[in-house]
Amino acid sequence: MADPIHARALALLRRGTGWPDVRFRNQQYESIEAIAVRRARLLVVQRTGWGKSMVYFIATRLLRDRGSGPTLLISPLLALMRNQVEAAVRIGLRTGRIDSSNQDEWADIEQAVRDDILDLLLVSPERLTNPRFVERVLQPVSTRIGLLVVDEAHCISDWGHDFRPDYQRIVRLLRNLPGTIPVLATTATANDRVVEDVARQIGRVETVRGPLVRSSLRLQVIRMHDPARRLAWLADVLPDLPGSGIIYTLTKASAHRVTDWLRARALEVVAYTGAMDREREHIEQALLGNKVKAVAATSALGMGFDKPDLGFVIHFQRPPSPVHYYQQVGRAGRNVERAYGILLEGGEDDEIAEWMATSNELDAEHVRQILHALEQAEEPLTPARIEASVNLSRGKLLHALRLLHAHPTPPVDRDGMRWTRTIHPYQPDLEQLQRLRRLRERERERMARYVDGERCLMEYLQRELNDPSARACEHCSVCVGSPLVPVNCSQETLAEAQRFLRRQYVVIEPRKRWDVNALATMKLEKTTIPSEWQVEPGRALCRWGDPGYGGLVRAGKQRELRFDQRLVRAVATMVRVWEPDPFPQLVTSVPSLRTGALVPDFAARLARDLEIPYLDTLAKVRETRPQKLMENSYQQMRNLDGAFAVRERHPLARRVFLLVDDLVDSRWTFTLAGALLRRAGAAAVYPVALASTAPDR
Amino acid sequence: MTPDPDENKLAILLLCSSFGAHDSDARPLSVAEFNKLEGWLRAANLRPRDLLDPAARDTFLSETTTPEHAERIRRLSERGFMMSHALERWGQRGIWAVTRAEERYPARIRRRLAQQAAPVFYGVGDPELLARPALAVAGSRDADEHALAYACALGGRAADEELAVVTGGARGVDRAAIQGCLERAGAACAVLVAGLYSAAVAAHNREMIADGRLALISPFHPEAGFTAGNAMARNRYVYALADWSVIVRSELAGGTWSGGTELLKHGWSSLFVRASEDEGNRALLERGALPIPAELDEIDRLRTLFERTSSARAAPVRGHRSKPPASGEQLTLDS
Ligand SMILES: [Zn+2]
Repeated sequence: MADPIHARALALLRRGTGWPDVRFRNQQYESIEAIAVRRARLLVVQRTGWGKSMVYFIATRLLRDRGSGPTLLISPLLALMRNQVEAAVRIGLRTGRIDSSNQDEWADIEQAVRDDILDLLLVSPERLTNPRFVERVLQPVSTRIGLLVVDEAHCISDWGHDFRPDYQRIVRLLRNLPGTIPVLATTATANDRVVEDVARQIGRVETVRGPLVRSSLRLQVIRMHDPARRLAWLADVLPDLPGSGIIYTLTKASAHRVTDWLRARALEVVAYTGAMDREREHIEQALLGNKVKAVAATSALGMGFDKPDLGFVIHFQRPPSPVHYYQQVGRAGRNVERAYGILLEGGEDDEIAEWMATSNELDAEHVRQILHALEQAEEPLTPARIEASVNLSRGKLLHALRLLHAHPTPPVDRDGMRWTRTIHPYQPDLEQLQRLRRLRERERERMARYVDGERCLMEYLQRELNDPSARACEHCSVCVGSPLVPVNCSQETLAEAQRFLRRQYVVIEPRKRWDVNALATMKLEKTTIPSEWQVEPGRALCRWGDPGYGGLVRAGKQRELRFDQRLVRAVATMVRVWEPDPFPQLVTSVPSLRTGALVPDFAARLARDLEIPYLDTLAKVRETRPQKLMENSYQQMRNLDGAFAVRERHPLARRVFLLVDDLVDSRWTFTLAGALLRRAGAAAVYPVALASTAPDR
Repeated sequence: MTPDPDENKLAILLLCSSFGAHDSDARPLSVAEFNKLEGWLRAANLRPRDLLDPAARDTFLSETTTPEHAERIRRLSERGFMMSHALERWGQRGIWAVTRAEERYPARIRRRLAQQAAPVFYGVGDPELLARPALAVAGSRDADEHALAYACALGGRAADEELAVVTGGARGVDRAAIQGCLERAGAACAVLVAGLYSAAVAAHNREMIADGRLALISPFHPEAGFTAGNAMARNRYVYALADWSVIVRSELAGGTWSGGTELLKHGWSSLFVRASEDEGNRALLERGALPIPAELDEIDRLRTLFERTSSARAAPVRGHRSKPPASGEQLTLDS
């Protein structure tokens, strides 16, 4: 083997790793050679930790030695990991990153490119589409890119779990890239179908694929539908798990809730979500340095995060696909004797996942409104101007614009900070939408089968990822035949968790006083509401502006004119967790002439779920104006005075009621409707609302 | 699914086009410089795509040219990523690129300008428009109301007779002719000096482009700024794309004048000049331009007039090799 390039590459590998006797891993050198010598396009599918970064570091060095321009690394990573930076320095590579947060470094980087001393540049995929960034930063530094590296290339495929519209731009970019500029696309997780799709889209590409096996990972599944039990289990088990780890949740709200709970139990846990731009790097460092026991994170913690001694990965809810799961759980146990991957299955997992997926889809009516606004305008419009014609929040509007912009023939384009219509007609890709929906459904089914635990868990995952070397691992709970980590929690912790959860809903405090003049028809004497007429403290599921359930409530009220079944389930769960005592015997609802059957229909479905009867007890005898238009308490009471009447035929005596309404704001509706019910004999009335529009205290 | 890109096309783009305001310091090759390089390549039995391979390129250049010129070509051809990024960005607005290496290159320009034809054209809209029977309309930007009304009516008449209207897309006569044509459901093409990137999405163009009735093309990159030199170089493409050309109003100097005299010299298409009292018009007629009545209602059918009058004169020389025009003349065309 007197190949001088191989000898040089091996010397670089040894210098880069700091290990003088290290050899190339299987296919590592072949990949380097393909890029740096044959200038090929290469798709490398290898597990994290295989050494993909070493491949492009060494290839960059070899290419640079022969006069090539710098490497451009397109990656959703915030930065190179510290160990990668150290390896790059040892190999003699100068690296830089350009993004919106380091404007003060742009000039230096530009100069370094000009002086030809910068070897590798990191840029995020979404930056590539920002016109100002492109003109001011990317162009000056990209005049002689010698190697293009595309990280997390599975995001290219909409057959994958992580399809990202921004990556479609990269595909189109590759189409006009001269064949003599080598391209390395890398991913750690992809099944056959995704690999084939990515390869097809990149074009002219050779694929290098290795096994995924990871022997020190011990997998276990636990079914626990009660969220309080899952929290309690976490608190009991966490201290006994090795090292530091990650607790994955499906939503940001869950990540924060888990964090709040575990911190209340004196455990070192921090939350990590995509919304926390600034702290993310800091939290990653804390986790890397074992300064925290666990990070409760959404899938935002993932791409590129590499901690070889991660002790455990717990999923608080079931992730939406085996590939997702493998990618996340696979972060544990890369370089430790024993690490745990434990999946908790809750009842609500599928609903949350589906809700998140559908809320990311483009709404045809919104698209029509956006395009119409842009077509009518003589000049490109700012998002603020578009908002005037489209009833969308800024975040949703920008999301919709970004999706439209990523279309192969985009109907909109950016013009600095403004947006313009293009000549392309817009056709929603209904086929793609249907395919994505079917795919999601199929993947959820595959994940549900994993939880069934009928065969070795590791083998199951490997087969899902089409790993030819899949076989029984002999370490997982199925292979061992008993739980690896206890599945129970203590009764005290459970009670504590229940109390914790109960505090999470919005409490509707009963009103104690009213204005006798405003309520003339009731012929009242005292300003204090008699205790036998008062309602009990109630609950609202969420706040109107909340992203999760709040979004469903808004959709139900404003668009669908029917509340989603998921809301029925969620309110039923809330009532069960809340456990009002005495427990309600009947469900009734606040009538409305304006919204008709909306609330009674919901209340009846809630009653079915709670397995108690539903009864229409109140009638709206007079139309009222929306309560939210009433500026003060007096007006609010006046507006409701004489509006409700009890339907006489119902025997209410000594019965306990859940009184359901869609929104609660001033609480006067509940107070007055409840007082009527109680005056007619009800033993107790518990107000329940879907959302509170009152300001958050 | 992904067809292999034509590497000769990519190589020509790299050598001859700029890709934005912050492109590298290396100056893209002029038409003459590219022709020369193409000759060297042919002599070495190579194609432009061979310059994309660093080793082959460096060997070829070291044997052919000076180190300075070799360095310039090397730097130009290293901009592959920048080019693909620019093409993607421009493509979002429907902007395409076509090079002399491709079948799709406008046939009339290839035939009439031959080696003088720009190696690269950018455009938006249906390229088929460029192959239709066409009438070029030109005239000074500061034309009076009467001239503008004439240009507008001429555009409309062209539309009625299924002639596409070709102009420089400048203010004044150019736009009036296009407007008249489009209003009568005709088809038009503008050869822009600058601003293709914004013109492709401008509110007044979008619908016409999407309908396939308006094409905008430019031999300069879509984000290029206006220069007088580019404006002058642009004129010949307007005339070369047409079967007949009409100058509505010319002064004795400026863009219309120099474009008209250049056309008379090379004969890319037959030049008609409105028989008005304008000094420039009269001078062009004296130099051999064909007259077109000063009032349109004197003309029964444009095509009949053009065909009869042109054939009455000797057929112009086609494919004649011209020299680039002298620079420094004050031009009045804009985007
Ligand atoms: Zn197993």
